[in-house]
Amino acid sequence: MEFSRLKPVWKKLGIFALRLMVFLFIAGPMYWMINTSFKPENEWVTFPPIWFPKEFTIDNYIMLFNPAALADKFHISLESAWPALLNSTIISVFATISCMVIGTMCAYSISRFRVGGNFFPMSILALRMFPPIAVALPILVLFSTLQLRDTYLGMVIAYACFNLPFSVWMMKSFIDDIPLELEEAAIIDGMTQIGAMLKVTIPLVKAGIAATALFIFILCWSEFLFAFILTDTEVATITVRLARYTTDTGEMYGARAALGVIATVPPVVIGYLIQNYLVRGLTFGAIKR
Amino acid sequence: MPAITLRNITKRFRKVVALKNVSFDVKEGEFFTIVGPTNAGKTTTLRVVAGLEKPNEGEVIFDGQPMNRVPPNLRDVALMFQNLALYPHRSGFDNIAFPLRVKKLAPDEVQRRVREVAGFLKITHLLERLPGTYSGGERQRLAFARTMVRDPALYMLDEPLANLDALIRLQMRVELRRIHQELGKTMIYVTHDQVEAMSMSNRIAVLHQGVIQQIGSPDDIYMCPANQFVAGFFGAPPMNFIPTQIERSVGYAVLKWGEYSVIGSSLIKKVKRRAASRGFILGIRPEDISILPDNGLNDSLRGRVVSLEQLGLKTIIDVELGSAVVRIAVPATFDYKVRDRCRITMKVERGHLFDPETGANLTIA
Repeated sequence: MEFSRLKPVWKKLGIFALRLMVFLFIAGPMYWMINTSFKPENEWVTFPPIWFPKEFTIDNYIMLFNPAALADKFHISLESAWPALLNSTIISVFATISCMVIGTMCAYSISRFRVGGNFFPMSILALRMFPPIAVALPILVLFSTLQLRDTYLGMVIAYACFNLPFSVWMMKSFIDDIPLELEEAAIIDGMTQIGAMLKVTIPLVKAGIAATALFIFILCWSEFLFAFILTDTEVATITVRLARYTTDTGEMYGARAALGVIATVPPVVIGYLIQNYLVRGLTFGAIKR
Repeated sequence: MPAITLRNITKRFRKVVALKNVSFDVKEGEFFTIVGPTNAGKTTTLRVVAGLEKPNEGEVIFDGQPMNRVPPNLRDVALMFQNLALYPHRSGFDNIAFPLRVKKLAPDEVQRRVREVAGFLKITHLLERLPGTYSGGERQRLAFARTMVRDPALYMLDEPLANLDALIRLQMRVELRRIHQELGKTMIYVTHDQVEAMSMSNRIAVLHQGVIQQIGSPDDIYMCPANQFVAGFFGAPPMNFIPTQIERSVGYAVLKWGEYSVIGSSLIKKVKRRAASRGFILGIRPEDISILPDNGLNDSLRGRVVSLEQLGLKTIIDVELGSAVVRIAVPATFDYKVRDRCRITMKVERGHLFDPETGANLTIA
């Protein structure tokens, strides 16, 4: 029996079930993370699972930011998670900015002047064709030699480079959508080429820039592999920090979950703030006008 | 001195030759139309004049000054693009004000001039809205307002009426002529529509495959087409072409095709150049052919109606004359039916003879 011939009630139920599955798939892990972050140690890993903390506690959060206060309770000494948050923020923000500036200009020149013909844009994409781990070791050696390891500059360069293909290709598709005539009209009206780009084209791809920047930011924010090999103590990021909540007595799931919750906040907040742009940006190329 | 001169412009895109040796003058205050089918190179010509494309060969000259090295933003020309190129993120007012703000005019001067132009084009009430909310005709006016607000030395319009409804197109056609008369500015107008070209221009350049076929007044082009292409491009329905052979009899020459022939002495006398081959292509406009009932008159051709197309004011009929089919426009009162027999007379002396190989019109100098 075809789906379209089902009775409306069954059809609705089917669609509802499908939606519920998708919702659970996305929200389930989120809920478990938030749930765990408010649990005391003895409730972290149990069978049957505890669906809601019996003893609600914010110890896990205190442990993140003021571990000294709980030193007696856990008998371990941990640093505060503040530096990791700060490092992640600095690295992600600057990597995103550099990636967007370079990527947008690159995309503009590819889109408008066909720089490098067909080969160049494709070769940029080729940067993402191998698994990152394949170059992890050479990059570690390279960064160590250049003394870029465990520095903000090194991390910003690394992240900006790895994500450049995304920003170039996403921005290229947004810029391709803006008719060339708009710029030419501006040039005939007395503007220079650069003026026309800045005053006409860039304002029109604002939505695209917002969407691409958020995308890049999330990639930088959640990157682990290179953060793990290229940082040590100075600029360790949240993802690296998360891996360090392992003690002699076992995994500190509570603290990890709490840091996970906090790490989720910035992308969500930024996404919320630019949501108007985002919806337009992500559907921009899809709509025939 | 002509306002604009193009001298031997050749433009290639990789291996494709878009313009080949294009030369023309546009006089001060003239309404000059470039007309031709798709891919003729019309838009490329405008872009070369505007400076958006650099010609591979040849010179663009404004008022005696060579312009090849002058960038488009310093040429003081305005170009209205086929897709209008309105800035979708700016209001109507800001769209019109854009060229003035680029020039860094004082805000109250910008206000005054935008209002003035908007008033002239009757779009004052729309100024606060985004162009996306405008109707087709209003967008056209907005784009034109942006073109004229700067008071440029030269206006270039690329198919400005192409995307409009038939009715609005007629209105805008009249309006554009009014604007041209009131402004008295030099305008280069590009269109693929021969009716627009005929009805609006002082002079027309016919472009085909990157080559100028003919330049002249609408009358010239209609009455004395330089070649078969031009002859076939203008007029609705277009000129009829019949491949014929010459046969000389006592005292007169006839143009013969199959079993049909017409006396062509008066026309053949006008032939100024020798044709490459023996035959000619007889070109004759629909209005120079008349249709009569089949009553056995001697000097008429016996034909058969092949198809009828009723257009209200007139009816277009196709009549088969042996191997040839001619199209004729007749009044709507015409009451023949398909397959009816009829008789045709042609005013052969008003026709043209074309070289079958080169297409050149042999009956004009």
